[in-house]
This record gives sequence, C-alpha cells and structure tokens, in this order.
Amino acid sequence: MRFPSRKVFMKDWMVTSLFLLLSLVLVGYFVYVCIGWNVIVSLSDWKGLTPSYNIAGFDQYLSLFHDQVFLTSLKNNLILILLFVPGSLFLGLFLAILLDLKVRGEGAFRSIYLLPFALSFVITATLWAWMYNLDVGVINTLLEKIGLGFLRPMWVADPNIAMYCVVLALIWQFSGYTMLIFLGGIRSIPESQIRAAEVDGASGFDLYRYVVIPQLKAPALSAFIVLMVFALKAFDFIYILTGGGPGWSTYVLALMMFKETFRKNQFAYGGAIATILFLLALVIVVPYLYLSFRREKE
Amino acid sequence: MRFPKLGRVTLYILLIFFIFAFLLPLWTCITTSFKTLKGVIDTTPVEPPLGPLFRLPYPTMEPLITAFNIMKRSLLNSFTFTVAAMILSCLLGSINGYILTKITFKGSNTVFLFFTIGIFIPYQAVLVPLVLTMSKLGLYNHLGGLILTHTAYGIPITTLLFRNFYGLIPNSLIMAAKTDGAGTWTIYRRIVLPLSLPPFVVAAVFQFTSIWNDFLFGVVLTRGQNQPASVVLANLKGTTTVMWNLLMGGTLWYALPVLVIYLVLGKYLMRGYMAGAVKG
Amino acid sequence: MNKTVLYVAVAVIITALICSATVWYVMRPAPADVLEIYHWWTSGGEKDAIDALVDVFADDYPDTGVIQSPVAGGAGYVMKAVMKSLVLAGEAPDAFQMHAGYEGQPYFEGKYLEPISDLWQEEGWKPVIPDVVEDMVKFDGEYYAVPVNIHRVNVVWYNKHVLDDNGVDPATLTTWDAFFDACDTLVTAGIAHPIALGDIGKWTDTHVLEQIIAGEGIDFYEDWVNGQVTSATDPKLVSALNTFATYLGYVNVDHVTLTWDEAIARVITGDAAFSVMGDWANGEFYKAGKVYDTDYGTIPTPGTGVMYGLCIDCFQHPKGVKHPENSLRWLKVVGSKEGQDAFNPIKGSISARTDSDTTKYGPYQAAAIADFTAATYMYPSVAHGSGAPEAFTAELDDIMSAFVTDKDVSAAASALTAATNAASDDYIKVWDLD
Repeated sequence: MRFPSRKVFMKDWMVTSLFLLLSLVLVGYFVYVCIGWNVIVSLSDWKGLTPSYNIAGFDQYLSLFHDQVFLTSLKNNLILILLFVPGSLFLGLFLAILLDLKVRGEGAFRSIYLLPFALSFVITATLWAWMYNLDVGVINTLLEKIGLGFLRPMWVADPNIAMYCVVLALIWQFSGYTMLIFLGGIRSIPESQIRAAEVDGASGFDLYRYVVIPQLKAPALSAFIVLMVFALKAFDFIYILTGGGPGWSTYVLALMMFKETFRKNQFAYGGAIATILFLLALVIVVPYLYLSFRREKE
Repeated sequence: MRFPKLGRVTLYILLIFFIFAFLLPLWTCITTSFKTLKGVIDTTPVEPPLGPLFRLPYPTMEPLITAFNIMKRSLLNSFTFTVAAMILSCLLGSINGYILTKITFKGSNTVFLFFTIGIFIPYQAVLVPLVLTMSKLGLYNHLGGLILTHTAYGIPITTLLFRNFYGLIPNSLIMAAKTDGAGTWTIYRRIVLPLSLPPFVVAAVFQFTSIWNDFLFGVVLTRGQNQPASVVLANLKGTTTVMWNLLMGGTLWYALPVLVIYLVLGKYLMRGYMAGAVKG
Repeated sequence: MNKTVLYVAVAVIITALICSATVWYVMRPAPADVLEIYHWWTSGGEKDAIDALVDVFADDYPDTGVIQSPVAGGAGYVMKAVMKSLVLAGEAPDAFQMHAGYEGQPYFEGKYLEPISDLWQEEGWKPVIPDVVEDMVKFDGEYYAVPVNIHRVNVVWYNKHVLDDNGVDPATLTTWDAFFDACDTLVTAGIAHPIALGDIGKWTDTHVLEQIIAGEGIDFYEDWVNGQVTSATDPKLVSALNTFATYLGYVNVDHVTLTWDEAIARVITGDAAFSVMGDWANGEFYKAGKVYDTDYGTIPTPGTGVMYGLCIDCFQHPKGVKHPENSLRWLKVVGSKEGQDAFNPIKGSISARTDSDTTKYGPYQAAAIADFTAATYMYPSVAHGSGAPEAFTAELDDIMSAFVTDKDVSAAASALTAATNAASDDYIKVWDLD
C-alpha cells in the first residue's frame, strides 16, 4: 500500500476545490445575487424606470394576495404542477411500455416521439393555436368526422378550460422526453428478473404492474425535476398561445411578473412575484432532495 | 413479451396514431416552407404545395433559400456559444457531481441544495441585473457574455445529472485508487472521467437543446450582427407583416442541428439514461 | 458505442472551433464611427422600409456604419423588455423605436432622454407637422422624439366583391347601426360571420374598442385619454361597450385562435366581409395580389369619418449614448421629407409631414393622405401605446380579452375605470384633440 505524498495530495485537492469554487461563485452570483436583487427591489419604493433601493416594507407582498390576477396565476402554476407533471410522466411511461413490447422500427418511433421536445416553443405554440381553432382546427374537424360535432368545445377560447388545453399541449411536448427516460429505465432492468417473473406466470399487464414499474423510481424522479422546472418557469409557450387569456385565465407567475415589470414598470411588484416564484421552487426542491437522499441511503 | 395477435394490431395502431400526433409540427413546417406567400393564404397548413394537378399551389424553394441567407450568420453565432457553454457547463457539472458524491465533506448536501435550487430561477427576473453585470464586465454584446451566462445557469442542472450518475459508481473503486496513491484530481481524471460518457451525452444533449432554444438571454445580451439564431428566427415573422413561409423555412434551418443531434445520438442518449437508472 | 460518440464529439468540437475562428474574423473590431439603432421592423415590407430609410442615412453620411438590431414580437412587447433592461444598465443604443406618446413616459421620467427642441427648431419641423402629432412627442413643453410615420388605426377593411354581390354600399356605413344592418344583410345572404377578428396577442380587441370609443365623439375620446372617464356608469362608456358586444355577435367564433393577419386573410378570401385593423393590413392584401378599390376597399370605422386615429413610431436621443452625434444625424434623416418619403411608401404608412410627395405612394396611401390632410380631428391610439399610460394599456388588453369572451358590459366598465384610477398618477399629459 502506497500513500500519496502530501504534496501531490494537496495539489490535487487544490485543483478540485478550485473548480468547485468556480461553480459556487458563478451560481452564487448569477442565481443568488440576482434573486437577492429581486428581493431588495420587491421591498423598495422603486417606481417607473428610476431605480430606488430604499426599503419601504412588505406592501408589495400584501397587495399581491389581494390581486386576483396573482391568485389566478398561482392557481395555474399549481395546475401545471398537479396535472402537467403527472400527465407527462404517465403518457411517457405509457409510450415507453408500448415501445418496449418488441416493436419493429423502435428507433424510428422513438426519434419521432422525441421531436416535439427538440422544437422551440415558437413553433409548437403556433401549431397548437391552429389545432385548437374552432372552425378549421384539427381537433374539431376530427370530432365532426366521427359524429361528435355537436360537442365542438371552445378549447382555448373558453376561460374555464383554456388552462387545461395549455396543459394538454405541454404534455404532448414533454412526454417524448419522459418516454426516453423511462425506456432507459426499463431497459436497465436485468433480463434475468423479467425471465424469473415470466416463469412465475406473470405476463403482460401484471409483469409491468408488479415487476417493471416499481423499479422505475429513479428515472421517474429525474424526469420529475425537469418537468417541475417547466411547470414553475412556464412562459414562452403560454405567452405565444394565449398571452394569458382569455382575460386572465391562463396567466402564470412568470407571465404576470413580465407584464408588471416590463409593461407596467412596476419593478417592485414584479420583484415580489419573482421572489414568490423562487420560494415556491424551494418548497418543491427540498422534499425532492430529501427523497433522493433517502433513496441513496437505502 | 408475447401478446395475442389482436393485441399487436392494436399496439401498432396506437403507435401510428402517436406518430401522427407527434409529427404534425414538423409536417406543417415543411409544407409551409415550400409555399409562396399567396399559397400560405390560399391553403390550410397541412396541405402540401403539390401543384395544380392536386388543385394546390406550386411549391417553391425560395423561402428556404432566403431564410438561410438571413440566418446563416446567426446560426454560426448560436453554434459557437452553444457548444462552448455546453462543454463548460458539462465539465463543471461533472466535477461538482464527482466532488459531491465521492469526496463528501461536511455540508456537501447543503452545497448540493445550493446548486439544485438554481435550476428553478425564473430568467425574466434576472434580466436587469444580468445586463448590468455584463455591461460592467465589458461582455455586453459579446458572445463571451452569452457563454458565461449559459454556463452559469447550466451548472445547477448538469451538477444534478452528474451527481445522480456518480452516486452509482462503487466507492470501492475510488478507495482502491486512493490507496494506490492517487489524489482527488487524479482519481477524477483517471477513473471517474473515463466512466462518464453516458452522463456526458445526456447532459450535453440537454444543455445543447436548452441553450440553442434560448431566446431571452440572446435578445437582451447581444445586438446587431451578434444576435443568436433564435432572435433572428423570431424576426422572420415580423411585427406588422407576417411571412409564415419564411418563418417556417427558418424554423427548419434552426431546428436542423437539434434534430440531427437527437437522431444521431438518440440511441446513446437512451443508453445514458439506462446507465443512469441502474441502482448502485 | 464509445467510438461513435467520440467521433461525434470530436466533429462537434472541430466545427465549433472553425465557427469561432470565423466569427472572430468577422467580428473584428467595429469601426468607431457607427450608428446603433433598435427597431421592431424585422420582416418583409417593414424591413425593406427601414432599410430604405437607412439607405438615405448612408447617402448623407457615407462614412458612418449603421448597425441595426431588429427585435420582433407582439408589437414591440419583447422589445420593451429589452429596451428597459438596456436603458437601466446604461447600454442604450443611439436611438430606438418606440410608439409616440406615453411609451416615452418612463424614459422621460427616469431622465434617460435628452430634449431635442433645438433640433426641431433647426430642422423647421414644426410648421409641417400637425399639432396633435407634435404633442405626441412632447413632455413638459420640450420635444423628446421625432415621428417617422403615421399609421391610421380607424379603418374598416372590406371585400368589395362580397359587398357588391349583396348590394351593400360601404359609403353608407357611417354609423354603427347602419354597419350592423349591413352585417344582418350579409348574414341572411349566408355569410355567417361577416366581421373577421383575430385576437391572439390581445391588443386587437383593444384596437377595436378604441375605434368604437372614438366613434362616441372626439370629446369623449379626449376625456378617456386624459383619464377623466372614472365612472363605471358613464353613459358613453357603457354605450361603447354595448356597441362592442353587438359587434362581437357578428365576429367569427374562432377569433381567440387567430392572429390579426389570419383574420384579414378571411376578408381576402371572402369568408368574411369586414375587419377593423390598422392600415398595415394593406400589406396583406398586396401580398395576396388584390387591387385597392377593385377587390377590396376601406372606410373609416363608423362615427369616425372626420377623424384620423394615429399610430406613430418615433426615434429619440437617449442620454449618454456612445455616438451622440450620429444619434442626432439619424434623427435629422428620420424627420426629413426625403427620409419619410423613402420609408413610408414601402412601409404602408404615410409621412408624418404634411408636405410629402404624394406621387410616391400607392393608391390606398394616396387616399389616406387625402383623408389625413382633410381630417378635422386626430387622436392618439391607446392600443398602440400613445394615448394612455402603459400601466393602463397593459390592463386594458387583459380586460378586453376577458370582455370578448364574456361580453359582460358592467364588469368591463368597472375594470376599465378601476384601471384608470389605479394609473391616475401616470396621466401626465393633457391631450387637446378638438
């Protein structure tokens, strides 16, 4: 057994920690200092385009909770978290299982399913505006063809369901990506385990229900974080598809923050929204990390 | 897995249904980018411009060519800073992931938390301090500024990806190297890095996609000739005029690098996820 | 596996190196004598127009390089965020496009703009520019910007064949009642939705409401933009909203999923007969190969026959810019007869000057110039950032977007007046329109 010379060890340690330090400085500045700036601005009396960092108190936060638009935005972010995230997970899992059934040309299917994720929101949002069109849109035309024309939902034109239309479109865009993660997970389950279960008489649905799916916690967790990021930061897609409308029905926090800050010049108010958005992330990340740390210990 | 015959038919019907659902955007992009402006007004987006034989307008190559000529410089810009920021953020993320799993120290979980929360930062909220910083650093309107920004905001997610992967490398491997006299950096270079191809593919593809598709940073941090492709693409649509064919033609050029990467690396990407999902 | 990925990685890195080398080469230090401008004219005719204006500048100052930074999207929505970030960081370009009027207010109040009254004096712009237009680039009695064009907002576009076939004479549509009667005729004739509207982006709803409010009379419009309409039961406000509700009864049901140009396309194809839109819509008819007065035509929106609704773009002289001299030179070109007559014929707008060379303009624009010269009243558009404070306009878009789905007049009226009251501090201009 040879122990590293102290000198080599120190040098190595220096190099590694230098890189870690670099990351810490970058993230510290670009994430935390910038968010800190938002917090300070949110407490200030900044008005218009005249920067002011005089602390004025929590007024902005108090008025947020009386602001109907803020509450709607918050609700919509929650809808994204509660519907879009599990929706994408389930559809992705479903697609992964379909592709796992020894499908011919699997590679081609996989690539095509992944396409929407690779395209920018400008394109996909424009496409969905046209899918949801009442008169000439794809969905209503199809409904009419199969004799359900009388339904003719208003889709994004109906403030009560507009947000769910947004969710549906987003699930479409992200499920290819979750499919890939799940397919990787399924494929990494040792063949021997599957064989053993088949010998035990498990097949088809049961095989997935009792053998495969329980082993997909890790990929689910890693897909979860990517989806969650989007559920909280959603902006471009909604801005292009509905602009937050009809009325305020599809506003989300990021969109509201953008409007308050850059259209209405309410920098303090916008800063307060950004801070709340960031706190919301904290509420989600901490349990996630707790879960993943616990998983590691197991 | 064996399924009854009827089941297989249903399976393929389902798969093909999803093909249609997922191919629609690309299909409309392609059809529209071959239409003349008049053709765009006269037909629905799904109809391809096959010519009068099918009672449809003539196809034209012009939008694609024009779009390419407008976008070529910006595609070059985007490619440069995307690849640079992708490499930097992956490298830093890899080193962080390694340190946080293999040289755990007191508070390493806190450091990890510190990084992970960064994933969630809403970019609209940092525009003003960001431009101010870049201006002070002399990196405003410089591709270096975009590289720095995207690297910094990429570190949290790459750290997470690499950390999840490195957690699966047996500690015994590291211990063995340590007893052979290797220091932390040597272990990283000689043992951890060579094992890291799968997570590098995953992180690189993820970073490439998100940096390439970014619009917000590109539009505030650069001007004139330095604008990235996402900004120039959005400009093809115009404010008081709309040129759908040009926009879709530009979209095809813009999507091309990402599509190529997904097609070429698709298999390896999945292997990356396979490797990452193996329980240690 | 390893090999392929390695090859791909090597290929990517080599390409990146080549690219960086090329970019480095192309990015050699820019000449010191440049002019940097931002605008949102990025595509098609609007881009050709700004290029023509830049050409005029290049002819006058051949040694100065011009760096354009076009930023498109939602009538400058994105560009507003970009400009505000840049201005706050002290990186303002030498000049940037903004709508005249209240869009300049935050920059003026933040003292980011240099007054240019001297320039106005030297260039002799005052006599050739109408008073309301002039007032739109002034704050506290000083000039702060130079208008480059005028788009008319109170325009109804109609498909001439559809109207002729159904015996509707557009010249008689001078009141909303007459207009809705004509719509009824068309509905009976089988055109289910005679009015086309596309409100992706929301501002198109505001745009229509604004024209209806102007139709209530110039005095009411003046009160409205001066922040004086503060009662939700104001009879003229309620009347305007009721008119809008009736209007919506004739509108295509899929308006929420259409953009404004897709709505115009329905008029072009004859699926609809009318659409209210600013006169940049003329470009859409032109692209489709339609001829003014043969295939399509225009009338002022009902009740605004003697009025000209103004959507004006302008440039200004920000403080502390890197090339102040070029900034002023640019403004000179922007305000010149030559510059405006190079820009506007292509843009589809008309010159902000009353002495423009009418022979350079197309048939629609010639008619618009005649109307402009003859107009009794002019009013600044609210939908396009001029007439009212930004804080109010931003809310207005959302209020109208809600209104077009629920048609709830009293809710919209109270929301509108509440938004006016909330922004009361920002009403720093007193418009004099009559």
